[in-house]
Amino acid sequence: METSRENFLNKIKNSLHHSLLPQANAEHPGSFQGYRFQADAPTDKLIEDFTRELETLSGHVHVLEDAEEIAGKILEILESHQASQIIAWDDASIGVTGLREALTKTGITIKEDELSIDNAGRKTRLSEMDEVLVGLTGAHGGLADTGAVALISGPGRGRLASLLPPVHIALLPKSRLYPSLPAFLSAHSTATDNSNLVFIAGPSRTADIEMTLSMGVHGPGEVHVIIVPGR
Amino acid sequence: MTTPNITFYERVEDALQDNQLYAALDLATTRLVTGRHNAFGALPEGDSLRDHARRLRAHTLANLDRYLAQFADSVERLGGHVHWAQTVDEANQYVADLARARGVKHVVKSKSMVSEELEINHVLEAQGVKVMETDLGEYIIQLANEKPSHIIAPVIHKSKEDVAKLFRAKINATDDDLIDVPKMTALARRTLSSDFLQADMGISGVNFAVAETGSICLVTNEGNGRLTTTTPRIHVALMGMERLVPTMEDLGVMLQILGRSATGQKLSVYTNIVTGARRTATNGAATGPEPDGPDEFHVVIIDNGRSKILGSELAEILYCIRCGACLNVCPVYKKIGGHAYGSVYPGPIGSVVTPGLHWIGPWSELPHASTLCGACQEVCPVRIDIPRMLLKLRDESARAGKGPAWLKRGLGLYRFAVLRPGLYRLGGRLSGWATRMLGKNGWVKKLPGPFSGWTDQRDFPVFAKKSFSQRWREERRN
Ligand code: SF4
Repeated sequence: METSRENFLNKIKNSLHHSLLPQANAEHPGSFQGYRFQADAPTDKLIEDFTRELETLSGHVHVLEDAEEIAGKILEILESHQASQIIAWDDASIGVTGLREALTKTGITIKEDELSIDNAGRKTRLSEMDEVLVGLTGAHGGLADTGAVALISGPGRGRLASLLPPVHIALLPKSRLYPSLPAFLSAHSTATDNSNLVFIAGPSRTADIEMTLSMGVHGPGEVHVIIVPGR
Repeated sequence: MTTPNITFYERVEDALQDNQLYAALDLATTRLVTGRHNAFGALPEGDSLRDHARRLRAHTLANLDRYLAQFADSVERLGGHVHWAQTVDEANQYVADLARARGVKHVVKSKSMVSEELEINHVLEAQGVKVMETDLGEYIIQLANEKPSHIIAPVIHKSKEDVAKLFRAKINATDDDLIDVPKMTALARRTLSSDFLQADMGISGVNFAVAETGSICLVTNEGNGRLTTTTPRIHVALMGMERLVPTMEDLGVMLQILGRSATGQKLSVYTNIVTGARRTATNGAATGPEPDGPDEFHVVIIDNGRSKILGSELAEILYCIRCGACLNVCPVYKKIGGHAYGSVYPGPIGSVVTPGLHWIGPWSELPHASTLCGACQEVCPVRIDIPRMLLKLRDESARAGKGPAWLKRGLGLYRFAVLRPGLYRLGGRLSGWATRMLGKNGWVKKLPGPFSGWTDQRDFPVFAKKSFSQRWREERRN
């Protein structure tokens, strides 16, 4: 037997005649007015807070100025893991032009990350991607009060780059720092136009066994955020 | 939901004998309570935010039919499929049929409380599908063939030695794999990673669904929730019908309090907001296909008794955002753990939800598993008045004649006596004398005859030498 949408909703409607719902108002309560974050906090303060929060979560923050330094830092991280392959967003989405080329010139392979519509092809691609140790992405926002970065999926911006490899490097332009998650959301009314919006606060962790912390259980166990100039 | 085969009191008795359980619960709940306390301490607007969140939940439920319709429209507009399931069987049937139709052999699951109501793993396994729980805690539960004992920390009752033993028996763990907790975690990651790459379907729960956008939000720390909703070709989200918020902005409010209440985190590691399957999308000026994510998105909206709760004096319990904070502060939960409750949802929240979902049924004892101290209401991020509803349920079950016989007998005797002042005074003096005879160090371990029911569960205090009315008369005389 199947319940129709109409029956399902009618049952709710009937129940609502007898509900005791304390403090329920027909009107939506509106926006919350009491957020204490400083809407116009200077960038330096946002960087300082963001860094402190992410480091508390065992993430790494690097504030770098020019393209060469940025490429150097990325190579350094790749070397420390003896990684020769990466999964990466496209240049436009990372926000540093020529970065992919600079990396491939040093012998780094950028893995294909497009999953096929065909189920078998999809699984093969996933298995190939699973060997990669480092993922490289941009970021749509950084949240100063939690050390989280916001990533929105899209063409050239896969989800797996920040998920499958054990190391995730995100490039975050300074101008995209926000005091908090609600502040980010109010500035991005189209954040859910694409299929995925994710906030990532540091490395994957679990405390399921005896409340003992372990990093990197399914997602990346090492997270670097490189704060870069630009928009 | 399966009903346990031993009684509530037997389960409690077993739990109370278990010293290891007590130590594990004490450690975990103390940590979680301290974490929550500190997190809210550092959020000056915490209290008013909770008030606002409560108003949001109340408003959403009062308009639930409208918001559910809006949510479904939003999902369908993006090509997603919505299925309405009044019962557990309908929900299971839908997922099972879908799996069969798409030739699904292998399913990965991320943590979902509603799927425990469904017991969907058994249904899928019965048709030959391999189902893997991927949250570390739930994975351990699955290997041990048990049930979770806490909403957010499912293996709170197990020691690392228990887990080591289990890993050795079930997945051939070596000594090296079991040196410490991080090593054990790494082993679980290795074991499960091939499941993520091979799965044909991912099944998730829903922390919040957003009516305006058709998004669902999943909050996890491990990353398994993201993988479950990204690598398999098909994503099925199982959702209790009350899990809605009207807008993305409202979701922001809820996210500010959920992590803090649950684990004391300002924000969980992954706040994953999924809006439909992957599709052609924009990237600045460019348009193209999204490289990954599922090709199909299905959401199953589940009633399973919730509309009955909604139409009652217990409707407020549906404000719950499943943070687990009320478990951690409950003096009863802290002593007996989750399994003793025998139901999917333990602790104060469970003592209302479970009898509510089944309209008491075999669950009449659960509302009594509380001291009515009010700690649950105090920590609840949406300030649910759990004690009020526990009393309501006690009342209901007494009216339905479900109270224990000794209680009825005892109260009957008491009533007879208090209506007769002479008899009452005599009885008072007699029982004072009797308790002093039977008691040791101020407590009676075992009361005789019809009163023994009381001392089966707890000690009885020895009466004071002078009764209140005696003292009253003396004071007045002076
Ligand atoms: S009743 Fe309140 S405290 Fe308990 S789980 Fe639900 S939201 Fe959390």
